[in-house]
Amino acid sequence: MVTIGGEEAHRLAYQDLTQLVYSGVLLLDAKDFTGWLGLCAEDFSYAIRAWSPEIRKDITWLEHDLEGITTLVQHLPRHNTDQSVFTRHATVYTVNLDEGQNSATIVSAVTIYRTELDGGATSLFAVGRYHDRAVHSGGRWRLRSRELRLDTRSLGIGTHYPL
Amino acid sequence: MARNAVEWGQTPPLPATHYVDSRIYSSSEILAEEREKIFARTWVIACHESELPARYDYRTYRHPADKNLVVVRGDDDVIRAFYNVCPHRGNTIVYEPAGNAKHLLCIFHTFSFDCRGDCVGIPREKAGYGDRLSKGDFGLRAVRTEVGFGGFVYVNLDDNAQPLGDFIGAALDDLLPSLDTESLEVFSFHRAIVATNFKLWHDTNSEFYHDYMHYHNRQTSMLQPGYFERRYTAFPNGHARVGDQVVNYEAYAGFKSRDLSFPGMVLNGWKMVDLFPGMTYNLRGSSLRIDTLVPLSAGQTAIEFRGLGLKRDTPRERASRVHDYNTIWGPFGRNLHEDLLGVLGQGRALERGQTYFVHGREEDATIHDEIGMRHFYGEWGRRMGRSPSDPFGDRRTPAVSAVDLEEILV
Repeated sequence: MVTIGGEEAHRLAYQDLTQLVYSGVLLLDAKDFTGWLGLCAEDFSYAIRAWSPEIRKDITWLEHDLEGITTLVQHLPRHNTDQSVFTRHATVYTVNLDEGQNSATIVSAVTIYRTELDGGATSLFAVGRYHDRAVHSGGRWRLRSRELRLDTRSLGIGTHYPL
Repeated sequence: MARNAVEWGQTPPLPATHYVDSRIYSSSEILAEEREKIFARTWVIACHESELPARYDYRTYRHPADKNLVVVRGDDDVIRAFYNVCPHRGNTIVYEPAGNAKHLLCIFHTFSFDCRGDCVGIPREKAGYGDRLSKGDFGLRAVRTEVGFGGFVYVNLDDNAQPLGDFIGAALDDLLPSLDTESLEVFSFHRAIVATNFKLWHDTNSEFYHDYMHYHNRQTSMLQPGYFERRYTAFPNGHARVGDQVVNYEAYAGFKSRDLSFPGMVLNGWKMVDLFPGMTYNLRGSSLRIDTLVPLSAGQTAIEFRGLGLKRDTPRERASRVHDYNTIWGPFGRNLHEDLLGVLGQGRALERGQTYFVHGREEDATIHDEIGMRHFYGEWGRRMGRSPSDPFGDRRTPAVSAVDLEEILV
């Protein structure tokens, strides 16, 4: 883990990487998927997984590369989708810079609420953790991969949106 | 033209077999009777045998007749099912959804049971019961269990029920080469709890007219050759099969042809069978989806979804099937969310006074004919002794007659 108060480069990297996670949350909340994809590297991969104690296996519920997730969000207007609003609350727990300081792993807790359009009732949709990998290139940090590991497995009607 | 209150309550100008009274979806009285007359007497899928791969593995199951079961693979590799209830003081025996244990131990007073349902341990047995009671009086309640039709563990609470094979009949014959040539394995499981009646989910699975709701299906199926030639076949006991089609996945931008299939099925093929009273085999492309239903109340249903591939899959093959499955069917899939949104909307409308649901499309039993639902409700009416269109005998239309029901059983 990066030591706060260590080298200035580390401190700045910690800030930038934390900001990368939080910026992504705000863009996803705003359904600005183009903006969110702009935070991702060309070799980005995205997955949602959970452990199933029912079948005692790790299960993958969504897995795409950048092209796949881009196509997914581009198709959204063509699908019938519940238009409830998702609000993500993330807290960055750990940031680990790799040896060369050009890549990093970030673990964040995430809680996702769903607010219905009709009446504005809010309910808890899911809890889990973002396991992110980031890469530094072109003078900025970008997401190389995100694995959302969900604790919540009862997801009601589900959703078409990346979380 | 919009209708006033009197017109809204009038029965549709159709035969009574072609619509249902919406109260069958909202009445607690109806659900209690469905549990007794249907779910407690028919075969239902509890789980898949791959969820119990080793001896002494167990898997819990909430039965739709409102019973809690535990399914166990015995020391003889035979899969059995029991009430998951201690016969002593009614405590739940197994709490975890799956695990492995040579003896099932009730934590309350540490009564223990073996994999065949025999009670094998009672603390201070003689001191408390003397010769009045013994382990032999505390065996678990066994439930009829058969494994088949793709390795699925079917259970039936009725000790006198017909054999599973007789209940299924020929409904799954067309799927058997895909189901039984090689062993299957569950790779995905999720449970959606939705504020809707269980029959509304089975209705959705029993008609394809709602393909208009699915952008994916419109592109890859409805606009493709052969779609409108798919035909329904009805089988005894309320089951129905829809004819096959080859899906053109590449018609949906960003999707590719599946590179895997199942034994006996063409590449990108699609086969689907609905089993009474709420199970669906949906074999599409490279994966098999199985739906099972547990009514939690008249207006709330737990829908369990399983995704399966072949047990011998390589890691690459399995990853491919998992990816294909999730693109349309996982909780984040393109189709499943839309289907669930549809039945949620029906559930909401029921709260606000819908009177009839129309199942009246007749198109020579082809894909948009609603014969699948009519066939289901023919069996439902026979088992319930109620007309689906007049379940409480207070509508102005005659109840479905035996002749009507015969006509539905094509």
